[in-house]
Amino acid sequence: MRQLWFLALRNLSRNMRRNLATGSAIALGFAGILLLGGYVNRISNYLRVYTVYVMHTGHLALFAQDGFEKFQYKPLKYSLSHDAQLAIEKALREEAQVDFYERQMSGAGLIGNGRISVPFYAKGYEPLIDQRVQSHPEVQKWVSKGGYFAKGQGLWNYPEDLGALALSKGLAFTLGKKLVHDEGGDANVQLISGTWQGSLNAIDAEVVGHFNTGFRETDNSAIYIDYKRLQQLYDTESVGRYSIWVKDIFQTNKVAARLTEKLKAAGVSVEVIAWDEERLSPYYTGTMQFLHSLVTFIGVVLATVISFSVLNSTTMTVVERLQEIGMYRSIGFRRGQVSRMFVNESFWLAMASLAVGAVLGYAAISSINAAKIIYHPPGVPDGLQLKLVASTPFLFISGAIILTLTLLTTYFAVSRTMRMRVADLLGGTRR
Amino acid sequence: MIPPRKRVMLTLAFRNVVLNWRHSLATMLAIAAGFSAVSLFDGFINEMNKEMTDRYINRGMLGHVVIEKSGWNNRTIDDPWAYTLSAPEQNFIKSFLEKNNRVSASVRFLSFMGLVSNGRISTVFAALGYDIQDGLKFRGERWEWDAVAGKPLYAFDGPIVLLGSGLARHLDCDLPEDSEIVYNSDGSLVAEERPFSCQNPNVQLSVTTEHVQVNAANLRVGGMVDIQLREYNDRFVVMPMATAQQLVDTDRVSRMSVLLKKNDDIWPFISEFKAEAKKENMDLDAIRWLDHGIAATSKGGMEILSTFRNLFLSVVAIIAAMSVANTMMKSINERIREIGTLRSIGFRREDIILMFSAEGLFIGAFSCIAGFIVTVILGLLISNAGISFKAGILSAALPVRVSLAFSTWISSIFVLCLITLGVSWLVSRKAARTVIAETLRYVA
Amino acid sequence: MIFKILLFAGLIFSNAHAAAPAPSAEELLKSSDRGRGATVSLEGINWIADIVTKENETTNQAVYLIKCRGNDALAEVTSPPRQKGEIIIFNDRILWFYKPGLKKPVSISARQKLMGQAANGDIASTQYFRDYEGKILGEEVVDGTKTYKLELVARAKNVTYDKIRYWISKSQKLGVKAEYLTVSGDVFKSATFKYGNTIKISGTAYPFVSEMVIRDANNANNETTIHYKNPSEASHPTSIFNVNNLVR
Repeated sequence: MRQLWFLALRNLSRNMRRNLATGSAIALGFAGILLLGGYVNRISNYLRVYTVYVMHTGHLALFAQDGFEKFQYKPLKYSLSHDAQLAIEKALREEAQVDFYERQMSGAGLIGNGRISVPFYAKGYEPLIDQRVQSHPEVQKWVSKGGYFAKGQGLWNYPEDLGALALSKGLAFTLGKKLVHDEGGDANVQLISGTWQGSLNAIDAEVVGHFNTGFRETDNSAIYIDYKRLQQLYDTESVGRYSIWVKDIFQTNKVAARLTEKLKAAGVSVEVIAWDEERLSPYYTGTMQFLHSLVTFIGVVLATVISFSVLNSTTMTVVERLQEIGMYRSIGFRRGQVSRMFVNESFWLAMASLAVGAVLGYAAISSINAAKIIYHPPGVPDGLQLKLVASTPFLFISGAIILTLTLLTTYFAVSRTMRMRVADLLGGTRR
Repeated sequence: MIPPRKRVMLTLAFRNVVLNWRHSLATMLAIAAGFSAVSLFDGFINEMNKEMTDRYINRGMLGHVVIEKSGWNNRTIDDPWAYTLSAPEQNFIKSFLEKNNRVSASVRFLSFMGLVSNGRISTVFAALGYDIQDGLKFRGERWEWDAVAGKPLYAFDGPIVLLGSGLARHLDCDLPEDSEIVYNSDGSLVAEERPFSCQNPNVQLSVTTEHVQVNAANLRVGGMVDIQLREYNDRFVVMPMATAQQLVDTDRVSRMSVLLKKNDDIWPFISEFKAEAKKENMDLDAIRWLDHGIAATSKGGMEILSTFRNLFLSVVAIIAAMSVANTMMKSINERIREIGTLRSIGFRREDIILMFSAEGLFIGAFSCIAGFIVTVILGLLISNAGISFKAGILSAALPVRVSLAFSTWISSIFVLCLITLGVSWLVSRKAARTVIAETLRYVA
Repeated sequence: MIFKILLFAGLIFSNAHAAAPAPSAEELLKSSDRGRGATVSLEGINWIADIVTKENETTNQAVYLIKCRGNDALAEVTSPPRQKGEIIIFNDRILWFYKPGLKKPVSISARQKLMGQAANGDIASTQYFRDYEGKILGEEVVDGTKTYKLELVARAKNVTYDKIRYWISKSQKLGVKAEYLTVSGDVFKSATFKYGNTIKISGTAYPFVSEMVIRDANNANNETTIHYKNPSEASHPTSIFNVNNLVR
């Protein structure tokens, strides 16, 4: 057995140019697949982390029953009351898989600068949870540094009574709030709306940051603010939803089921939606579907092209070494052993090529990352750096697939020849 | 006229490839697979591009060029009328369009917001009023029927309104189930009236007019539409231009879209319009549809696909080159004696190089032909398989189809043949320089 | 003989009554405005407004101290306690909202006053005589009261309602009912009035509105009732209606 491996290794040196060409095809194909994998790895993780953390979706979103659809139209009826919140938070504390959670509000009204007022659509978060989310290792790893503000600092840097809020860039332009709180100047605004009981109410706020929504349609009306300020504005103790982050993402659906059951038993009717459900994260799910289809297609094609290349090379090798095969057979090597020898040769070649391909791939990834190329996918404010992130599991899995394909292709190329008679093999045929 | 010597080498090369096709089979398969993959991918991208273009220009009635008041992008929500087109400006534009023979059709749009109520529930709406008959010239037969429930606007006379499907649900309307909304294979709706019912068959739209007065209209709900973007379906309302202008008590419009006879007319049209507007002191702007904010999503998406394509093409091209190099090296190695023989009877080095280069070229060409056949077959299969995808934010799926990308085929054939030719030339040069006596004695 | 003289005298008197000319639309509008606080005193008047708003499934109640002078008005919330001190100022077509502690008042422009309290405030403060050209269309009986029916058309485009149908009582020359029409002529909101109060201006007593009910034509569930209490003449400096003076 060991002899076959040794023979195989030695035989590699017999036709260096061809092996080099074959090996290059494998190496380059593998490098290409790694680049692709690096891109998909980066994008899918970027989108996942952006959806779950930066957008405060959480792994699970908890609403009052039918609240997901109807809260925006009838907040009083479809919000989570103070009592419901107590029950929910008790259930969340008792659930071992829950890492942390956040109360959230949303709503609309008018925002004024003392001269004019214009409509706003607000998302209210907990600033300290926002801080936790922004500094989360996943966010630090996958989303570009600097967080989601084009200007200014996170709301958690300011005392609660300041009424810190962030404006979308278009809204900041409309209100003439070019300077944020830390830059001096007048960063004061007022929010006015009808309370949930029907009277008029207004609160002060201080602009501490600007952000881009990534969509032209929302960039002139969006604001981020502490959810308590929205509660104050709408004169309520209720919240619109909870976002829940779990410890093990693979447990998400089980946690959802447990929470729903537990709260039902406590008399609180809720709906819990997972982050990767289309209705909660349509952009994420749609993009990932598309990306996976695209990458599968490209991957299959590259694998096919590599396989043909290997087939080409192996066929040529076998034809050249017919007499040698005949000789091995005539001195007692069985068909299987001779086949195995060729397969072993392919193994060494493939391993070496994959190693080279991995080095090439990682080098290419580093170069592309260093080039800091910016491109503009839809919905991403200010563009995104073309960054590839190699994935070790992907490296091994795709390497194993290519190795397997190579070995199978070799076996296929060799198997027909093995069925020839020894005498024919010894006679040999050249071109 | 090809000199006789070269003709002989080319004939030899052709015959060598044809008679010994088995030896080059795997290489040809690799190149064919690469050609096919790149062509299919390009065909897919082209089809996506065509589809998105059609959806914006025709279905969405954006047209090839959008004419707006200069500075429209700077308008603030506080003063929505500041950058609208007045009646004299519209007359100027209309007159220009009538005289310009690049123009196929034009349509006016009026956008505004307000409150919509069914008597129990009220919520914010965003409306689009447009000239229905003009709009039909943009939409054409494919997109003519745009109502997922009820009937399209053109099927009614007089004031009527269609609601976005999300808004309709919120206003207590029962829509057909998704499975009951039937689409043609090209993604357009099957033109049939799908019944719906609303608790209140009329809705009241309340607005503040151009002159900041309250106005309201009770309009019958004629049906529901599915705007291409999910977020819009929860607020969208569409109506005839006359109804819209009457509601906001104005003769102004937000923008005009122009459909040209040819794509190539876009830039000439824009410069002609701008020159004329400047001459008449009209503060107007003409923007290519792809540069307009409405089409920003499409532009970003196509950029990503192009990046993928370029990466993919590069890798395939390199692998193809390696494969050919492999084959040619082996072939040349085995035919050293043949080279010697040919040289000894008077063929020159460059003739040998020509022969092997031509063999490489023929391998490339035959592979591309095979790849072309596979592309056509697979392309037809994929296009007719009825696959679709939603690409993230779209509410209605895009059909997956592969178009016949002639220009891609030509350029792929050119590139791949160039690669096979070039690689063969490279590897044959050394062999061609070997001394004749050595080549005749050579044992592989 | 005496009977014939008395009869003749009666005829003369009755003819004298029959000969009295019908009031003009302007007179009617001026008189009806007076009954609601406009065109009464140059220095100003006060009243308490107890407003109950029913919108869909919610009911809200607040009490305001209203101060008026000419075209300006200031409404200060006196109840409920959580809203006490909130102020709404009507300056021309812009409404300003302020509450104690706010760094700046917030404007609600005419373009934004489509629903809720802002829309009702618009109606309650309508100045028919100043802003509308009236035409008497005929006479009708409204809730047992004989009225003149008027059609009012906005003098300029800078008022919220383009047309108003207005019923003014024949006997008291006070507005009994109004329908606020959109540009297209449909009823958007309607209002009814009662006059149980009296206000003394420079010693002369005038009837004053005691209740106004505003209804949403499209939604029977939406209704606002304003109870007017304690109307009185007052002297208000113009500075109190200046929104810049709110924040000190």
